[in-house]
Amino acid sequence: MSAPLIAEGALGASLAAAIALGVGFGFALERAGLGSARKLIGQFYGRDFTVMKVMFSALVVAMLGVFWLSRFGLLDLHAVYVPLTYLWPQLFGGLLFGAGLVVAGLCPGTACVAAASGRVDGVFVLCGFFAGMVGIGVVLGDFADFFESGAHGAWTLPELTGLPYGAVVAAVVMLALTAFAFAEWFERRVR
Amino acid sequence: MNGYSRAVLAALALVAATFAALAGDVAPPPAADEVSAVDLALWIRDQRPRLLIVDARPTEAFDKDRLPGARLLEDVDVDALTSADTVVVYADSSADAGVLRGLSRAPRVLRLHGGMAAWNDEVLFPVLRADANARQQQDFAVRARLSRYFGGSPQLLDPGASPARGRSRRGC
Repeated sequence: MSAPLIAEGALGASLAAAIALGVGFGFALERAGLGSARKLIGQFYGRDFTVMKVMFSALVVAMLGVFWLSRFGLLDLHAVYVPLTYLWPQLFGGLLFGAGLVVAGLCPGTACVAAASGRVDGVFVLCGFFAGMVGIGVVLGDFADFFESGAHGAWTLPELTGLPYGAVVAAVVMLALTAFAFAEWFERRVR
Repeated sequence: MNGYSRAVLAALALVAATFAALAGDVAPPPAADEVSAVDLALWIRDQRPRLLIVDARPTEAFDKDRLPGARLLEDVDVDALTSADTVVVYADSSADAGVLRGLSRAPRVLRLHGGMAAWNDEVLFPVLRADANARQQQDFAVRARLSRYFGGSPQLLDPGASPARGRSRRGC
């Protein structure tokens, strides 16, 4: 038996798994203190790198998990969906997302956590988030060419670099550990 | 979390990453009693002596499509088994243990890793992305020659021509 355990198209089971994983993710974010806009915004002032540490930790755990589960035949990697790459709209979207994160102090996930834990700023950020979704949906047709530009399909780092999958995993883990050490040093220096 | 716990977790991540770098590929390697599709293709192309290839699928599947030189399992007699040096048996995905027991008279029995599906994907119809770098194109040229030798057709994938835009993305 190998993962994914839920067959594609099994809507009820997929939704149940999504709710369970979403609640778990939200709980982890809240426990890490990421429901607080002050904590998130601390990253941009160099005072508190909790966001980077939590997100990079999650990325490293998931990446190592996917690699070794697949290597031991417990996960069928061909059945795992890889979001498609559209270089230019995603680059623009990343910059816009970053600007929004600085202004609001919350991103969509942490906004949900903030709202669920009773913080008013979280509710306002969520309202802005949904308003933005509706707005982009209305004007999407006018920007269709840009929205589809720089298409590379399901594009992974091993395909981009030509390096073996394991070497890319090792490089990202090294990058993460170096970033953690630098963040700890920088936090001590600022305080 | 205290400093000791962090150091232990960092060390665990480092060890797992180091072994990942050494392992290289993310796909499980062929087991000791398996041979990869590409290696088998090279054996067939180089006319490896005393190689017997056995198809363990139903007769209909064998008649429709089979590996070059393969013989249907029920047509393989004791003489053929004992005169072979290496027997490679394949099915649609992976040959089961019952089939291997039936071939126990042969000196060395190997299963085709991934079965017929792997043969089609890795030997007959290898895929190259249109945005591949020079090294990937060079590696692919070798696979493409092997594919054409067996009557396959190397595929060029245009990643920009994806049929549908991705499903919902996860935020942070």
